[in-house]
Amino acid sequence: MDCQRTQALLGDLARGELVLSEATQARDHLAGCADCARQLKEYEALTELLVSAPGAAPAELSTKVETQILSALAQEAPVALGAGRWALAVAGGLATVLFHATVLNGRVDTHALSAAELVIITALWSALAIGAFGWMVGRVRLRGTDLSPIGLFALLTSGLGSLGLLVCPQETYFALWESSSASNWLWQSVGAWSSYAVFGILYGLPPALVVSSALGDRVLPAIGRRWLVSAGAAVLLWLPATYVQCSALGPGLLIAWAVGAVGGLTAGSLGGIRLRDAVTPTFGRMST
Amino acid sequence: MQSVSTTDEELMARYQAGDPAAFSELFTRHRDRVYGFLTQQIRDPDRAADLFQETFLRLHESRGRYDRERPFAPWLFRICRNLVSNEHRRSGRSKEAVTAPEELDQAATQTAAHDVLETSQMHDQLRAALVCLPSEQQEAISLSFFAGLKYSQIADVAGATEDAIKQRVRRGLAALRNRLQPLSGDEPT
Repeated sequence: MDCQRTQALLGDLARGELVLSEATQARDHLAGCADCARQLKEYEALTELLVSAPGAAPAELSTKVETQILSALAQEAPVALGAGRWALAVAGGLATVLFHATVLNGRVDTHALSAAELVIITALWSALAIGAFGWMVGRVRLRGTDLSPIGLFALLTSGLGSLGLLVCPQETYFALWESSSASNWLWQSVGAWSSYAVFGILYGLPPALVVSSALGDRVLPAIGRRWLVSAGAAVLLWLPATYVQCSALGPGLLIAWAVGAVGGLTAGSLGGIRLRDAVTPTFGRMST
Repeated sequence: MQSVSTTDEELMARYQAGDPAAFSELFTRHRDRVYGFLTQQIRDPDRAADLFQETFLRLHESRGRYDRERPFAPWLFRICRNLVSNEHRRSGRSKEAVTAPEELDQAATQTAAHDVLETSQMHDQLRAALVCLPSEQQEAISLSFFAGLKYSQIADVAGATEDAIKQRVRRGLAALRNRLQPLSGDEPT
Protein backbone atom coordinates (compact mmCIF):
# COMPACT_ATOMS: atom_id res chain seq x y z
CA MET A 1 0.00 0.00 0.00
CA ASP A 2 1.45 3.38 -0.97
CA CYS A 3 1.28 6.71 0.86
CA GLN A 4 -1.65 8.04 -1.14
CA ARG A 5 -3.82 5.00 -0.51
CA THR A 6 -2.78 4.80 3.13
CA GLN A 7 -3.51 8.46 3.79
CA ALA A 8 -6.96 8.06 2.28
CA LEU A 9 -7.69 5.41 4.91
CA LEU A 10 -6.14 7.07 7.95
CA GLY A 11 -9.41 8.52 9.20
CA ASP A 12 -11.10 5.12 9.06
CA LEU A 13 -8.07 3.48 10.62
CA ALA A 14 -8.06 5.93 13.51
CA ARG A 15 -11.64 5.12 14.40
CA GLY A 16 -11.42 1.39 13.71
CA GLU A 17 -13.68 1.34 10.67
CA LEU A 18 -11.30 -0.55 8.36
CA VAL A 19 -11.67 -4.22 7.58
CA LEU A 20 -8.84 -6.38 8.90
CA SER A 21 -7.06 -6.85 5.57
CA GLU A 22 -6.99 -3.12 4.82
CA ALA A 23 -5.97 -2.28 8.38
CA THR A 24 -3.11 -4.79 8.20
CA GLN A 25 -1.86 -3.38 4.93
CA ALA A 26 -2.07 0.15 6.25
CA ARG A 27 -0.25 -0.79 9.45
CA ASP A 28 2.50 -2.43 7.41
CA HIS A 29 2.96 0.78 5.46
CA LEU A 30 2.85 2.94 8.59
CA ALA A 31 5.63 0.90 10.18
CA GLY A 32 8.03 2.18 7.54
CA CYS A 33 6.63 5.65 6.77
CA ALA A 34 7.14 8.38 9.35
CA ASP A 35 5.03 10.92 7.48
CA CYS A 36 1.96 8.70 7.29
CA ALA A 37 2.47 7.61 10.91
CA ARG A 38 2.50 11.26 11.99
CA GLN A 39 -0.69 11.89 10.05
CA LEU A 40 -2.30 8.90 11.73
CA LYS A 41 -1.52 10.45 15.11
CA GLU A 42 -3.25 13.60 13.97
CA TYR A 43 -6.29 11.66 12.88
CA GLU A 44 -6.32 9.81 16.21
CA ALA A 45 -6.18 13.14 18.04
CA LEU A 46 -8.97 14.46 15.85
CA THR A 47 -11.06 11.35 16.49
CA GLU A 48 -10.57 11.71 20.22
CA LEU A 49 -11.55 15.35 20.02
CA LEU A 50 -14.66 14.57 18.00
CA VAL A 51 -15.79 11.76 20.26
CA SER A 52 -15.39 13.91 23.36
CA ALA A 53 -16.94 17.00 21.80
CA PRO A 54 -20.69 16.58 22.20
CA GLY A 55 -20.84 16.58 25.98
CA ALA A 56 -23.81 15.52 28.01
CA ALA A 57 -27.35 16.70 27.58
CA PRO A 58 -28.15 19.19 30.36
CA ALA A 59 -29.56 17.42 33.38
CA GLU A 60 -32.50 19.77 33.71
CA LEU A 61 -33.49 19.30 30.09
CA SER A 62 -33.07 15.53 30.29
CA THR A 63 -35.18 15.30 33.41
CA LYS A 64 -37.89 17.45 31.87
CA VAL A 65 -38.12 15.39 28.70
CA GLU A 66 -37.95 12.04 30.43
CA THR A 67 -40.62 13.07 32.93
CA GLN A 68 -42.83 14.31 30.13
CA ILE A 69 -42.66 11.04 28.23
CA LEU A 70 -43.08 8.88 31.31
CA SER A 71 -46.09 10.92 32.31
CA ALA A 72 -47.63 10.48 28.86
CA LEU A 73 -46.89 6.78 28.97
CA ALA A 74 -48.55 6.41 32.36
CA GLN A 75 -51.69 8.18 31.15
CA GLU A 76 -52.11 5.98 28.13
CA ALA A 77 -52.71 2.83 30.14
CA PRO A 78 -52.60 0.29 27.34
CA VAL A 79 -55.56 -2.00 27.17
CA ALA A 80 -54.75 -5.51 28.27
CA LEU A 81 -57.51 -7.52 26.72
CA GLY A 82 -55.76 -10.85 27.13
CA ALA A 83 -57.86 -13.82 26.19
CA GLY A 84 -60.84 -11.51 25.95
CA ARG A 85 -59.60 -9.99 22.73
CA TRP A 86 -59.55 -13.39 21.11
CA ALA A 87 -63.13 -13.91 22.18
CA LEU A 88 -64.02 -10.48 20.87
CA ALA A 89 -62.33 -11.19 17.58
CA VAL A 90 -64.06 -14.51 17.15
CA ALA A 91 -67.41 -13.07 18.19
CA GLY A 92 -66.99 -10.11 15.87
CA GLY A 93 -66.01 -12.33 13.00
CA LEU A 94 -68.87 -14.75 13.55
CA ALA A 95 -71.34 -11.91 13.84
CA THR A 96 -70.15 -10.52 10.56
CA VAL A 97 -70.31 -13.91 8.92
CA LEU A 98 -73.86 -14.30 10.14
CA PHE A 99 -74.72 -10.90 8.82
CA HIS A 100 -73.27 -11.77 5.44
CA ALA A 101 -75.00 -15.08 5.28
CA THR A 102 -78.40 -13.66 6.13
CA VAL A 103 -78.88 -10.02 5.31
CA LEU A 104 -76.46 -9.73 2.46
CA ASN A 105 -77.24 -13.02 0.86
CA GLY A 106 -80.96 -12.53 1.20
CA ARG A 107 -80.91 -9.22 -0.61
CA VAL A 108 -78.75 -10.10 -3.57
CA ASP A 109 -80.73 -13.06 -4.79
CA THR A 110 -81.96 -11.13 -7.77
CA HIS A 111 -78.43 -10.23 -8.65
CA ALA A 112 -76.91 -13.59 -7.98
CA LEU A 113 -73.21 -13.63 -8.51
CA SER A 114 -71.49 -16.45 -10.31
CA ALA A 115 -69.17 -18.77 -8.46
CA ALA A 116 -66.20 -17.24 -10.24
CA GLU A 117 -67.21 -13.74 -9.14
CA LEU A 118 -67.56 -14.90 -5.56
CA VAL A 119 -64.18 -16.59 -5.62
CA ILE A 120 -62.55 -13.47 -7.00
CA ILE A 121 -64.29 -11.29 -4.44
CA THR A 122 -63.34 -13.65 -1.65
CA ALA A 123 -59.71 -13.76 -2.70
CA LEU A 124 -59.49 -10.02 -3.19
CA TRP A 125 -61.26 -9.29 0.02
CA SER A 126 -59.13 -11.67 2.03
CA ALA A 127 -55.91 -10.39 0.55
CA LEU A 128 -56.82 -6.78 1.20
CA ALA A 129 -58.06 -7.49 4.67
CA ILE A 130 -55.05 -9.49 5.74
CA GLY A 131 -52.67 -7.10 4.05
CA ALA A 132 -54.21 -4.02 5.56
CA PHE A 133 -54.48 -5.42 9.03
CA GLY A 134 -51.10 -7.06 8.81
CA TRP A 135 -49.55 -3.77 7.86
CA MET A 136 -51.46 -2.11 10.61
CA VAL A 137 -50.13 -4.33 13.36
CA GLY A 138 -46.66 -4.04 11.98
CA ARG A 139 -45.97 -7.41 10.47
CA VAL A 140 -47.44 -10.40 8.72
CA ARG A 141 -45.62 -13.57 9.64
CA LEU A 142 -46.36 -16.92 8.19
CA ARG A 143 -44.15 -18.73 10.68
CA GLY A 144 -45.30 -19.29 14.22
CA THR A 145 -49.02 -18.93 13.48
CA ASP A 146 -48.90 -15.40 14.64
CA LEU A 147 -52.08 -14.16 13.05
CA SER A 148 -53.22 -11.59 15.51
CA PRO A 149 -56.77 -11.40 16.80
CA ILE A 150 -57.27 -8.63 14.32
CA GLY A 151 -56.04 -10.85 11.55
CA LEU A 152 -58.40 -13.55 12.71
CA PHE A 153 -61.23 -11.06 12.65
CA ALA A 154 -60.31 -10.13 9.11
CA LEU A 155 -60.10 -13.74 8.06
CA LEU A 156 -63.47 -14.63 9.53
CA THR A 157 -65.06 -11.52 8.17
CA SER A 158 -63.83 -11.81 4.65
CA GLY A 159 -63.11 -15.43 3.98
CA LEU A 160 -65.90 -17.15 5.83
CA GLY A 161 -68.38 -14.44 5.06
CA SER A 162 -67.87 -14.86 1.38
CA LEU A 163 -67.73 -18.60 1.79
CA GLY A 164 -71.14 -18.43 3.38
CA LEU A 165 -72.42 -16.67 0.31
CA LEU A 166 -70.88 -19.29 -1.89
CA VAL A 167 -72.05 -22.50 -0.28
CA CYS A 168 -75.36 -21.75 1.38
CA PRO A 169 -78.62 -21.81 -0.55
CA GLN A 170 -79.77 -18.26 -0.97
CA GLU A 171 -83.37 -19.23 -0.53
CA THR A 172 -82.66 -20.41 2.98
CA TYR A 173 -81.31 -17.09 4.08
CA PHE A 174 -83.86 -15.16 2.15
CA ALA A 175 -86.60 -17.07 3.91
CA LEU A 176 -84.88 -16.57 7.22
CA TRP A 177 -84.65 -12.88 6.62
CA GLU A 178 -88.23 -12.58 5.45
CA SER A 179 -89.50 -14.49 8.44
CA SER A 180 -87.77 -12.16 10.81
CA SER A 181 -90.17 -9.79 12.47
CA ALA A 182 -87.32 -7.38 13.02
CA SER A 183 -86.49 -7.24 9.36
CA ASN A 184 -90.13 -6.80 8.41
CA TRP A 185 -90.44 -3.98 10.86
CA LEU A 186 -87.27 -2.46 9.55
CA TRP A 187 -88.27 -2.56 5.92
CA GLN A 188 -91.95 -1.86 6.20
CA SER A 189 -92.15 0.57 9.07
CA VAL A 190 -88.95 2.54 8.96
CA GLY A 191 -88.16 2.54 5.29
CA ALA A 192 -85.27 1.88 3.05
CA TRP A 193 -83.16 4.88 4.06
CA SER A 194 -83.16 3.84 7.68
CA SER A 195 -82.12 0.41 6.58
CA TYR A 196 -79.33 1.93 4.59
CA ALA A 197 -78.15 3.64 7.73
CA VAL A 198 -78.21 0.38 9.65
CA PHE A 199 -76.29 -1.41 6.93
CA GLY A 200 -73.89 1.47 6.58
CA ILE A 201 -73.08 1.51 10.25
CA LEU A 202 -72.70 -2.23 10.30
CA TYR A 203 -70.37 -2.14 7.33
CA GLY A 204 -68.55 1.06 7.96
CA LEU A 205 -68.16 1.26 11.68
CA PRO A 206 -66.44 -2.00 12.64
CA PRO A 207 -63.47 -1.85 10.27
CA ALA A 208 -63.02 1.86 10.73
CA LEU A 209 -63.18 1.46 14.47
CA VAL A 210 -60.63 -1.31 14.45
CA VAL A 211 -58.26 0.45 12.10
CA SER A 212 -58.42 3.85 13.68
CA SER A 213 -58.25 2.58 17.23
CA ALA A 214 -55.20 0.59 16.34
CA LEU A 215 -53.54 3.64 14.86
CA GLY A 216 -54.86 6.19 17.26
CA ASP A 217 -53.36 7.08 20.57
CA ARG A 218 -55.46 9.97 21.69
CA VAL A 219 -53.12 12.43 20.05
CA LEU A 220 -55.54 14.79 18.43
CA PRO A 221 -53.05 16.77 16.32
CA ALA A 222 -52.11 13.56 14.55
CA ILE A 223 -55.66 12.57 13.84
CA GLY A 224 -55.64 13.87 10.27
CA ARG A 225 -53.11 11.39 9.02
CA ARG A 226 -54.74 8.54 10.85
CA TRP A 227 -58.06 9.43 9.32
CA LEU A 228 -56.54 9.27 5.91
CA VAL A 229 -54.84 5.95 6.47
CA SER A 230 -57.81 4.46 8.27
CA ALA A 231 -60.24 5.60 5.64
CA GLY A 232 -58.07 4.06 2.95
CA ALA A 233 -57.89 0.77 4.77
CA ALA A 234 -61.61 0.76 5.47
CA VAL A 235 -62.42 1.43 1.84
CA LEU A 236 -60.14 -1.36 0.71
CA LEU A 237 -61.60 -3.75 3.21
CA TRP A 238 -65.21 -3.12 2.48
CA LEU A 239 -65.26 -2.21 -1.15
CA PRO A 240 -66.34 -5.71 -2.22
CA ALA A 241 -69.14 -5.69 0.31
CA THR A 242 -70.26 -2.31 -0.85
CA TYR A 243 -70.19 -3.47 -4.43
CA VAL A 244 -72.35 -6.47 -3.64
CA GLN A 245 -74.77 -4.54 -1.51
CA CYS A 246 -75.14 -1.66 -3.90
CA SER A 247 -76.24 -4.07 -6.59
CA ALA A 248 -79.25 -4.81 -4.45
CA LEU A 249 -79.83 -1.74 -2.36
CA GLY A 250 -78.64 1.08 -4.57
CA PRO A 251 -76.23 3.97 -4.05
CA GLY A 252 -77.83 5.08 -0.80
CA LEU A 253 -75.73 2.47 0.90
CA LEU A 254 -72.59 4.33 -0.03
CA ILE A 255 -73.73 7.37 1.90
CA ALA A 256 -74.74 5.24 4.82
CA TRP A 257 -71.44 3.42 4.70
CA ALA A 258 -69.57 6.69 4.77
CA VAL A 259 -71.54 7.83 7.81
CA GLY A 260 -70.72 4.61 9.60
CA ALA A 261 -67.08 4.83 8.66
CA VAL A 262 -66.78 8.40 9.92
CA GLY A 263 -68.35 7.32 13.20
CA GLY A 264 -65.92 4.45 13.50
CA LEU A 265 -62.94 6.62 12.70
CA THR A 266 -63.93 9.19 15.25
CA ALA A 267 -64.64 6.69 17.97
CA GLY A 268 -61.47 4.76 17.31
CA SER A 269 -59.20 7.76 17.10
CA LEU A 270 -60.61 9.45 20.15
CA GLY A 271 -61.12 6.31 22.16
CA GLY A 272 -57.47 5.40 22.23
CA ILE A 273 -58.19 1.71 22.42
CA ARG A 274 -54.69 0.99 21.17
CA LEU A 275 -55.27 -2.44 19.80
CA ARG A 276 -51.86 -2.28 18.27
CA ASP A 277 -50.21 -2.08 21.65
CA ALA A 278 -52.51 -4.74 22.94
CA VAL A 279 -51.21 -7.25 20.40
CA THR A 280 -47.57 -6.20 20.69
CA PRO A 281 -46.72 -8.40 23.68
CA THR A 282 -47.98 -11.38 21.73
CA PHE A 283 -45.53 -10.71 18.95
CA GLY A 284 -42.78 -10.06 21.47
CA ARG A 285 -43.21 -13.45 23.05
CA MET A 286 -43.34 -15.15 19.70
CA SER A 287 -40.10 -13.62 18.53
CA THR A 288 -38.12 -14.92 21.47
CA MET B 1 -31.91 -1.78 35.97
CA GLN B 2 -31.55 -3.17 32.47
CA SER B 3 -29.07 -5.86 31.59
CA VAL B 4 -26.18 -4.62 29.52
CA SER B 5 -27.02 -7.34 27.01
CA THR B 6 -30.46 -5.92 26.39
CA THR B 7 -30.46 -4.45 22.93
CA ASP B 8 -32.05 -1.19 21.94
CA GLU B 9 -34.51 -3.13 19.84
CA GLU B 10 -35.60 -5.28 22.78
CA LEU B 11 -36.00 -2.19 24.91
CA MET B 12 -38.03 -0.56 22.17
CA ALA B 13 -40.33 -3.58 22.04
CA ARG B 14 -40.93 -3.28 25.75
CA TYR B 15 -41.43 0.46 25.43
CA GLN B 16 -44.00 -0.18 22.73
CA ALA B 17 -45.78 -2.43 25.19
CA GLY B 18 -45.87 0.38 27.74
CA ASP B 19 -42.84 -0.39 29.91
CA PRO B 20 -41.61 2.92 31.38
CA ALA B 21 -38.31 1.43 32.56
CA ALA B 22 -37.51 0.45 28.99
CA PHE B 23 -38.04 4.01 27.83
CA SER B 24 -35.86 5.38 30.61
CA GLU B 25 -33.05 3.03 29.64
CA LEU B 26 -33.34 3.96 25.97
CA PHE B 27 -33.41 7.62 26.87
CA THR B 28 -30.32 7.27 29.06
CA ARG B 29 -28.47 5.47 26.30
CA HIS B 30 -29.24 7.93 23.56
CA ARG B 31 -29.93 11.34 25.07
CA ASP B 32 -26.31 12.55 24.92
CA ARG B 33 -25.85 11.35 21.37
CA VAL B 34 -29.04 13.04 20.26
CA TYR B 35 -28.08 16.19 22.10
CA GLY B 36 -24.59 16.12 20.63
CA PHE B 37 -25.93 15.73 17.12
CA LEU B 38 -28.47 18.50 17.59
CA THR B 39 -26.08 20.99 19.14
CA GLN B 40 -23.72 20.48 16.25
CA GLN B 41 -26.43 20.82 13.65
CA ILE B 42 -28.38 23.64 15.32
CA ARG B 43 -26.27 26.53 16.50
CA ASP B 44 -28.94 28.09 18.71
CA PRO B 45 -28.80 26.18 22.03
CA ASP B 46 -32.41 26.99 22.84
CA ARG B 47 -33.62 25.64 19.53
CA ALA B 48 -31.41 22.59 19.94
CA ALA B 49 -33.03 21.99 23.32
CA ASP B 50 -36.47 22.39 21.75
CA LEU B 51 -35.61 19.87 19.06
CA PHE B 52 -34.16 17.52 21.66
CA GLN B 53 -37.53 17.54 23.39
CA GLU B 54 -39.36 17.26 20.08
CA THR B 55 -37.24 14.29 19.02
CA PHE B 56 -38.26 12.23 22.00
CA LEU B 57 -41.87 13.35 21.77
CA ARG B 58 -41.91 12.19 18.14
CA LEU B 59 -40.29 8.96 19.21
CA HIS B 60 -43.04 8.49 21.74
CA GLU B 61 -45.85 9.31 19.34
CA SER B 62 -44.55 7.13 16.55
CA ARG B 63 -43.23 4.24 18.59
CA GLY B 64 -46.11 2.10 17.42
CA ARG B 65 -44.80 2.31 13.87
CA TYR B 66 -41.30 1.20 14.77
CA ASP B 67 -40.36 -2.10 13.16
CA ARG B 68 -38.25 -3.98 15.66
CA GLU B 69 -36.66 -5.99 12.91
CA ARG B 70 -34.68 -2.88 12.07
CA PRO B 71 -31.98 -1.24 14.20
CA PHE B 72 -33.22 1.38 16.58
CA ALA B 73 -30.49 4.03 16.45
CA PRO B 74 -30.87 4.88 12.75
CA TRP B 75 -34.62 5.11 13.22
CA LEU B 76 -34.20 7.51 16.13
CA PHE B 77 -31.71 9.64 14.25
CA ARG B 78 -33.92 9.71 11.20
CA ILE B 79 -36.54 11.40 13.37
CA CYS B 80 -33.86 13.73 14.65
CA ARG B 81 -32.52 14.48 11.18
CA ASN B 82 -35.98 15.26 9.83
CA LEU B 83 -36.48 17.80 12.59
CA VAL B 84 -33.10 19.33 11.84
CA SER B 85 -33.93 19.52 8.14
CA ASN B 86 -37.22 21.22 8.90
CA GLU B 87 -35.44 23.65 11.18
CA HIS B 88 -32.86 24.48 8.53
CA ARG B 89 -35.58 25.03 5.97
CA ARG B 90 -37.44 27.26 8.36
CA SER B 91 -34.54 29.40 9.54
CA GLY B 92 -32.09 29.28 6.64
CA ARG B 93 -28.90 27.37 7.12
CA SER B 94 -26.49 29.61 5.21
CA LYS B 95 -26.88 32.40 7.71
CA GLU B 96 -25.71 30.16 10.52
CA ALA B 97 -22.80 28.81 8.58
CA VAL B 98 -21.47 32.29 7.88
CA THR B 99 -21.79 33.76 11.34
CA ALA B 100 -21.07 30.88 13.63
CA PRO B 101 -17.35 30.28 12.97
CA GLU B 102 -16.40 33.86 13.65
CA GLU B 103 -18.37 33.93 16.87
CA LEU B 104 -16.93 30.67 18.00
CA ASP B 105 -13.38 31.62 17.08
CA GLN B 106 -13.75 34.78 19.08
CA ALA B 107 -15.13 32.86 22.01
CA ALA B 108 -12.31 30.39 21.69
CA THR B 109 -9.59 33.02 21.78
CA GLN B 110 -11.07 34.48 24.93
CA THR B 111 -10.92 31.18 26.72
CA ALA B 112 -8.45 30.92 29.58
CA ALA B 113 -5.48 28.57 29.38
CA HIS B 114 -6.69 26.35 32.14
CA ASP B 115 -6.56 22.65 31.24
CA VAL B 116 -10.28 22.13 31.33
CA LEU B 117 -10.93 25.31 29.47
CA GLU B 118 -8.25 24.40 26.99
CA THR B 119 -10.17 21.28 26.11
CA SER B 120 -13.27 23.38 25.86
CA GLN B 121 -11.40 25.74 23.58
CA MET B 122 -10.39 22.87 21.34
CA HIS B 123 -14.01 21.80 21.17
CA ASP B 124 -15.05 25.31 20.28
CA GLN B 125 -12.46 25.37 17.53
CA LEU B 126 -13.65 22.00 16.37
CA ARG B 127 -17.22 23.19 16.19
CA ALA B 128 -16.14 26.32 14.39
CA ALA B 129 -14.28 24.18 11.87
CA LEU B 130 -17.21 21.82 11.52
CA VAL B 131 -19.67 24.48 10.50
CA CYS B 132 -17.34 25.49 7.70
CA LEU B 133 -17.69 22.08 6.11
CA PRO B 134 -20.31 21.37 3.46
CA SER B 135 -23.55 20.44 5.17
CA GLU B 136 -23.45 16.84 3.95
CA GLN B 137 -19.99 16.35 5.46
CA GLN B 138 -21.08 18.01 8.70
CA GLU B 139 -24.03 15.73 8.94
CA ALA B 140 -22.05 12.60 8.15
CA ILE B 141 -19.38 13.44 10.73
CA SER B 142 -21.97 14.34 13.35
CA LEU B 143 -23.85 11.11 12.82
CA SER B 144 -20.61 9.17 12.83
CA PHE B 145 -18.83 10.65 15.82
CA PHE B 146 -21.52 12.37 17.87
CA ALA B 147 -24.30 9.88 17.28
CA GLY B 148 -21.98 6.90 17.03
CA LEU B 149 -23.61 5.40 13.95
CA LYS B 150 -21.83 3.10 11.53
CA TYR B 151 -21.46 4.02 7.89
CA SER B 152 -24.28 1.72 6.84
CA GLN B 153 -26.58 3.24 9.46
CA ILE B 154 -25.68 6.78 8.43
CA ALA B 155 -26.45 5.82 4.85
CA ASP B 156 -29.84 4.62 6.02
CA VAL B 157 -30.53 7.82 7.93
CA ALA B 158 -29.24 10.19 5.27
CA GLY B 159 -30.68 8.33 2.31
CA ALA B 160 -27.31 7.96 0.59
CA THR B 161 -25.07 5.07 -0.34
CA GLU B 162 -22.53 3.75 2.13
CA ASP B 163 -19.70 4.67 -0.22
CA ALA B 164 -20.98 8.21 -0.46
CA ILE B 165 -21.07 8.46 3.32
CA LYS B 166 -17.53 7.11 3.60
CA GLN B 167 -16.35 9.75 1.17
CA ARG B 168 -18.14 12.50 3.07
CA VAL B 169 -16.60 11.44 6.37
CA ARG B 170 -13.12 11.02 4.88
CA ARG B 171 -13.18 14.38 3.15
CA GLY B 172 -14.66 16.04 6.19
CA LEU B 173 -12.00 14.59 8.48
CA ALA B 174 -9.26 15.63 6.11
CA ALA B 175 -10.62 19.17 6.02
CA LEU B 176 -10.94 19.27 9.81
CA ARG B 177 -7.40 17.99 10.23
CA ASN B 178 -6.10 20.73 8.00
CA ARG B 179 -8.09 23.41 9.81
CA LEU B 180 -7.16 22.27 13.29
CA GLN B 181 -3.39 21.86 12.82
CA PRO B 182 -1.44 21.09 14.90
CA LEU B 183 -3.53 18.33 16.41
CA SER B 184 -0.94 16.03 17.93
CA GLY B 185 1.67 18.51 19.02
CA ASP B 186 3.78 17.93 15.92
CA GLU B 187 4.37 20.40 13.18
CA PRO B 188 1.86 20.27 10.36
CA THR B 189 2.87 18.95 6.97
